[in-house]
Amino acid sequence: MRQIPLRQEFLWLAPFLCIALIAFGLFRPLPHFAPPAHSRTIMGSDGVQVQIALPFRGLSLVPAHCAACFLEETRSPDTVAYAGNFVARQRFAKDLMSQIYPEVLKKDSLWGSDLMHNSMSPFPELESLLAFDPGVYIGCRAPTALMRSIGLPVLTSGSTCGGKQKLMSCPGSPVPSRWSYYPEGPLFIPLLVEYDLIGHPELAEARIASYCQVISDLQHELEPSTLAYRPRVLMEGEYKGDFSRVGVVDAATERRIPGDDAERVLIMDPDMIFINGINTSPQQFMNDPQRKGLKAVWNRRVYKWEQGGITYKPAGIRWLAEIVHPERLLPKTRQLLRDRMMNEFDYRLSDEQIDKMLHVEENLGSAGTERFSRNYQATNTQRLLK
Amino acid sequence: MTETMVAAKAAPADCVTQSLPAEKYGWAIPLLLGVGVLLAILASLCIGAFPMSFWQAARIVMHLAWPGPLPANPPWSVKEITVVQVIRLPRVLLATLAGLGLGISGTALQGMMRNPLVGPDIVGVSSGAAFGGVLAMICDLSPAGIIGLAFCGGLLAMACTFGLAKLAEAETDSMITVLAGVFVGALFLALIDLIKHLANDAQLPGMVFWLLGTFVGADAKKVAMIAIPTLCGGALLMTLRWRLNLLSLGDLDAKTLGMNVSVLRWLIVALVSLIVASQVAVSGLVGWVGLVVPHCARMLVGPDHRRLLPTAALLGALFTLGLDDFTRALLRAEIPVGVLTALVGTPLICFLLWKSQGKGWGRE
Repeated sequence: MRQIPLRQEFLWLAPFLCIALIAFGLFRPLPHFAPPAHSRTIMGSDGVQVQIALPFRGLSLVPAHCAACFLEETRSPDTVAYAGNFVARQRFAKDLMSQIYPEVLKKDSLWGSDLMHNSMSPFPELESLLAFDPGVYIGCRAPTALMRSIGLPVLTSGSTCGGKQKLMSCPGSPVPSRWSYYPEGPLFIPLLVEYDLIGHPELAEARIASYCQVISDLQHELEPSTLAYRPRVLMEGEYKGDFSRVGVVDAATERRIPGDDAERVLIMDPDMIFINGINTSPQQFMNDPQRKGLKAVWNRRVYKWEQGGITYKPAGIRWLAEIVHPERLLPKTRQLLRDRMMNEFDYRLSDEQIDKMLHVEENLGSAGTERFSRNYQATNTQRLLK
Repeated sequence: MTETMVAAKAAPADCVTQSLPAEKYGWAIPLLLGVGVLLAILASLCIGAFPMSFWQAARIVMHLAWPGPLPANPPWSVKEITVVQVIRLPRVLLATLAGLGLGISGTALQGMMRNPLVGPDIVGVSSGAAFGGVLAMICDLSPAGIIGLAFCGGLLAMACTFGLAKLAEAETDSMITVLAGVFVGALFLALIDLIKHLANDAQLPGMVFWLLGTFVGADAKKVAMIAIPTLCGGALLMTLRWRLNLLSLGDLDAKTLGMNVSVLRWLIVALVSLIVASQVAVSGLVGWVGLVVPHCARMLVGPDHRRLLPTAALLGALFTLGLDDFTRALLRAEIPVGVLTALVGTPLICFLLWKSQGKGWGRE
């Protein structure tokens, strides 16, 4: 082995110094996109004002923002310049909105299939967003602070963006003290921000009014304050609100028992159980040996229920009320759902689509769900009216 | 005893026969690797959704790295410099520095303990650092807190490993030290599982993804967090290269040559803990690099730590950067790099085992 000359020995330093120098380069001031020459200002749900370039170049839905939700909220497919990666496209294809707006699903340029990465990181996605050059980016799960720090217009529209829940409810309803008991914030706030963005704030007000009208009609028909019997119900899953509107008592809150594991549910022993947002059918739930002792299981009062967005939710709340108090309400859920889709999207739902949305097949084994079947209303409305 | 004699004596039989390229090419191999790493960094900047040419990436990096203000009318767009400076370069540097640190740490540990089975993840330092990291995460500490606790965890694990070996009165027996490292590593992995169990829904997904080893979410702060300990610790390890050569002879020989073996051992342990802790703090558990890369480097340049340390560092950088590029460019999915290093490292170490036919440090 030869002696290594000292001069050569320190040559190894060169690449390390280069790497250190390149690393120092990262600490230069960040690049900054110039503000638009002509713009208008929109306030996002997090209270940050964003300058939108004029003429409006369209919007990008940044990672994790739901394309179907945006279309349901704004009904403006033409404003979208970028809707998400191919995973988002697959998710969108399963949503009803893809049938209402098939052109959005078909248009490759909106999904950038040749550029996208199936990525958990927002950064590759951010690269793709830069390639699209839209007028504004919507969403709050992306690296919003970073994007804003380089001058990109990022508008937040979700009620939870900015870390604080926004409380909203229909006019006339009490202002909620806890958001989850009147969860109108997640519905109304995106509407207000996004309609403002596309230049039609009045449409947001109209849709909120339409939503609140349905809720108000239900309240008049049900008259919850006059109800003698209020069953104790448990929501298994994500949804935790609107119990007072449908004349029930929240079994979890009543006993102050947090959590919903098998033992706690046995202590609560609710009259009815609604499964929401989790992939379990009522049959699976009722066949679970851990649940066999529950009153709701004996009486087959376990149901699959869906919360839905601004269009579906009034029908969902009515469905809930009809199941709980069938003696007070006519079976109008199917018609209500059909009417709302027709009024809002000029789209006629088929019986199969309504069955799917109301989980008719999954709830067949549960008590009192016959009234939601497609032939029930025609044959029984007259009898019920009597 | 001259330096060359020391290095020659430290070389295992197979390495002497396989160190012919080193004899032939001298410092060309580490230098070529250095150029290769720099070219790989630039090439990696061209991978991604936003189109970017090699020359444009090189030009932007040159201007960023060169002291002095950026040109007033730069030949690149704001989008291009954003993609390089904000999105790609931090990730590329993070991968490079992580591999560099693991390569040099593994080599130093193997040299110090005279055992080719040793690596940062084998002697428990990675698990200890990961434990410190998750502990900091569950306490919602700042990034500096994460690196601080990760360092303490790594150091604690190494202290436990050597303490256990000392208790067994086999401090100088590298096999016992490795066994002690396995036990200590298992203990810290159990503690990590306990913390994962205690973590809330918001903390757990990030914690699990981080533990798998990932360069996702790299930014300038993370690069600083890994660059300073890795480059400074690596430089200090390089100043110990002669002593590492002496230590490779065995404790008795090293003591005879006037070295304070105990102090040197603890100094190397502290430096390795610092480097590995900084790597774990910013990118989670990236295993196998510190075990496999030193073997490959030894095959290229032989056992002399003067060449071996920089070669292993650069080879480690190429290894992790290459795997990260592979996952970004070819797989088009964010497979955690810790998973990929294990998938690639395991067959590689099996191949090396087969090729050495059990010869070398494993047999006296």
